[in-house]
Amino acid sequence: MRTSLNKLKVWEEYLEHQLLPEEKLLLDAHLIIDEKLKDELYCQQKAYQLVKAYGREDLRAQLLRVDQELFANPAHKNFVDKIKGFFRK
Amino acid sequence: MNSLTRAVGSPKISDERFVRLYKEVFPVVVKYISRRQGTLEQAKDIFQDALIMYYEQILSTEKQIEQTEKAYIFGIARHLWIHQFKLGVNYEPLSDKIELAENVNDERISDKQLMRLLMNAGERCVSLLKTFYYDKLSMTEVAERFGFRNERSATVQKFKCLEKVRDFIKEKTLGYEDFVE
Repeated sequence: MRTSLNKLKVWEEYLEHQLLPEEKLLLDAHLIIDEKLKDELYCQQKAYQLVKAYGREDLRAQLLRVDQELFANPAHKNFVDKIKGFFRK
Repeated sequence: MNSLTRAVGSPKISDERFVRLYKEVFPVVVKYISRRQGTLEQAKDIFQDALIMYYEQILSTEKQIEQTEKAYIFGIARHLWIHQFKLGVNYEPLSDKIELAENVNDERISDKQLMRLLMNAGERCVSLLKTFYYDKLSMTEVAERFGFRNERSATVQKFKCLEKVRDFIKEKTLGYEDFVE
């Protein structure tokens, strides 16, 4: 992998607490003296957050599709009747 | 069930498995919520969030749990319902309060806007990253799904995508003055 990708890998290990204490210490020191690096790490963290958010949205879309299938397809009528039965007085 | 399909970047669990979970666990959740004057819509929102939490904690990583699947999901749903009841507010689904707002110190662009722009710029990359970081597929499985020769090629592509997304975020969230001396 090219150098910039290897750096990403190392920072990923840093964020996931996979580095040895002495390796982490070295990167901590870099962060203190290099503002640009700090920005890059912030953006990398943000990338993981966005990916997680996208994953959750995608999963919710799948669950909505399943919900619609269950409640709209006559094949699942017994299930729907059972559910609606809980709300009848 | 023909309308249910599985795309390249789709989550690790099939629609059929979620249908099974719906049939096994949803009635128990509905019974609990309906007895506490909840509505069907509230039960659906809570159940879906419970499934999302279950997926994030267990399904995607295949961790072992001591309780049965049914008891575990019902436990999450009951916790969500009680939490909402205590707060006395309308239930707000998880997807609307994703952890994006945390640790964000700039107001120039919202996370939702950023996500939209990012999807336009590189949906395949985001999808690949999601498959690894959210769905927890191995790099071998990622390689198979996305058509890479092997695990190594997929790993390189994963970091290229991460770099692309990171640089995109940098460009959109950090001010121009941050890049000039």
